Amino acid sequence: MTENDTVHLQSKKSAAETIKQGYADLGWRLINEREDGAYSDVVHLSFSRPHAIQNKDGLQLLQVRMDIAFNNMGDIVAKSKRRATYCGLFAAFSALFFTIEGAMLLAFYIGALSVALGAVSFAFAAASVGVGVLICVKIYKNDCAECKLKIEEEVKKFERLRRAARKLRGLEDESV
Amino acid sequence: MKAFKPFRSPDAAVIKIKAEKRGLGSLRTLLTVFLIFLQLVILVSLYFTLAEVFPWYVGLSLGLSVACCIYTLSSDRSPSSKAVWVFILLIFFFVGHILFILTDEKVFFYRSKKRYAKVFAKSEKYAGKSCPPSADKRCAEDCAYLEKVGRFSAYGEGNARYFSSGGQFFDAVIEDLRRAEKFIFIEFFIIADGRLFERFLKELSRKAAGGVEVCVIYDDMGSHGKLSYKSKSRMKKRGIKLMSFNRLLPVIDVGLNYRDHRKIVVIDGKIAYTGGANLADEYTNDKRMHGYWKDGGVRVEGGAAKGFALMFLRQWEFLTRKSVEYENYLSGAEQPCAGESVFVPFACGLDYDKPVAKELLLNVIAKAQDRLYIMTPYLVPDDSIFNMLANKAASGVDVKIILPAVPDKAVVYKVTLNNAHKLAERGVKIYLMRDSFVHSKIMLADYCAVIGSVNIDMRSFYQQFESALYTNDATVMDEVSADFSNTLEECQTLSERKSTPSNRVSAGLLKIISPLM
Repeated sequence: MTENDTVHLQSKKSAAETIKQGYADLGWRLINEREDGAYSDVVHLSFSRPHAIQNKDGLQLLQVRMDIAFNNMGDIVAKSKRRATYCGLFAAFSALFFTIEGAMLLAFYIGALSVALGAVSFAFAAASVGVGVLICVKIYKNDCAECKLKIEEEVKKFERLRRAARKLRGLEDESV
Repeated sequence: MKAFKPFRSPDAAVIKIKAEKRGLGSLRTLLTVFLIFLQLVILVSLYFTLAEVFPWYVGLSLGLSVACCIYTLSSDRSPSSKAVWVFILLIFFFVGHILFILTDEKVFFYRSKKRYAKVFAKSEKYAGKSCPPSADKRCAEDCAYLEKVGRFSAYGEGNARYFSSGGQFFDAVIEDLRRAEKFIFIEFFIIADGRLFERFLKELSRKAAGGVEVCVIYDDMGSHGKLSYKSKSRMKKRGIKLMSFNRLLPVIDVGLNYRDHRKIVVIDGKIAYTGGANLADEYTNDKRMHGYWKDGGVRVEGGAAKGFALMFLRQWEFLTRKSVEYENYLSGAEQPCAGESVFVPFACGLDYDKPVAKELLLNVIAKAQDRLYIMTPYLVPDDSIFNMLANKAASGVDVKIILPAVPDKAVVYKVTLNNAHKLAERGVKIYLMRDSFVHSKIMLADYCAVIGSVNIDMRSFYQQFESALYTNDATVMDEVSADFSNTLEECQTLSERKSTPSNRVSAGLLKIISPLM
């Protein structure tokens, strides 16, 4: 009876099919797939392959690099929204601050000056929102464009790793 | 009906390999650390109480610390170690002298050293006769050195084979275990529950049931939290003899710092293995830790296997405190000294008077003329090795060191990179294996190879019990050379260090503590 190795992993649902393809190139066969009990975007995958596989050391190294490529893609996507999110939060807090300041000036002080200052505060609040939206959108567009390029690089890296895995296993180099 | 799951995973990782977590191991570690910390607090409080009641004690402490400084400066310790000790003794004069006395092996290791000496004296005649010196003068000198300082015999027949990964190494070990007829000796720093352990246990249980004597030594700190009580109990119930080295107790004891780092497997005294890999899943990449785990090892047959058997039996006699009948395991005709190849199994540790591994490696570095290739997870050499490496590179010798790109211990890695940068500035070529933790401990010169458990760091040189094989066998050297070539293809050169003030400060601070690593 052939001895088999097994590996159990959890992955994002959106990447599951790609992961299955990559692992298949590494010689792994899917033996189980199930949804996570708590999270809607996670699946659990189990794979098996013969223990004595040709060029196993090379395949193990490629597997590590494939996993790193997957997680890099996840990091890139997460980071693409980060700066825009921080910018948005900053704009929102600024707007809130100026709104509260304006409201306090109007509520607790009497006189034309306080009304004027209150109006200015509200104007700053509106400007924070307006400028914030403009800057956030610009940052998001730039980061998305950058993210797209980085993801393309990681995808190319992943495809190279797949080809290398198939080569190590002595399979024909099929075009992807 | 599908369950309603409104939440998305907060973990950004797209893919995660599942690893079994052992909560009980962490609890035991926490408890041990807490108890030791408590003892430390009590001791410090006692000291200050004493100093308050007897004010002259402070002066006495200073006097004793100064005396320890003088003793240190006149001792045989390495210059960097002396500097660090003097610093500690003077800055922390109130407890420095106590720490120094307790850490002096002449104090804490006195009784154990006497016991080791008795074991060595009794078993010396089983070391075997060394083969005539090699025609290669450099190799002959190394063999003569090993014979003189540790009575390590040079064997002429080894039929050795090198393994470039932990997976290959252990597959071969298990294959040979199936053919064991008389005895199996196993000694590892780490033995951990997992798939590899189960594969071993299956074969060892079968052999023990069939009358083969199976003896296993594991280091109690190395295997702490990794080898469960249940697994130990299973081994014992199946007739496997099990001993732990230097039990980890929740008591302040400097001796706890000294560990058995050896990796030895001996089968019937005819086949032996040594290398860098421990008996745990990460070493075969069945468990993911620190990227791809790169390791190496060697298999020898014949007389060289007896050398490892002797090493194991001495440790076994020391730990069990029971007399071992060496002739039951080491008898047999002397192996022939055929050809030019020599195989010298050697060990180092507190059981020897000299830092054997360090001095041998220094000799090898000094005599390398064309190439010197090193794979090591840590690069914390003392001044002699550091300077020799730099001088060799400056002399035109091709000096290459492969280090991990993925660290396992952050502070040690910082020190390693710091030393790597300094060596790179002096002409040594430093490579980092991408996405990998390099755990191999290999040195390949143009005339010999050293494969074993010895890291290029102070712990391996001065504190740990290590094992390795020295050989000039052409087959092994070619295999090691091929491994270096293949590994270099997966490496990147060390990038230039940015000289920022924070880098310089941290490098300086790490330099102070590195002799203690």
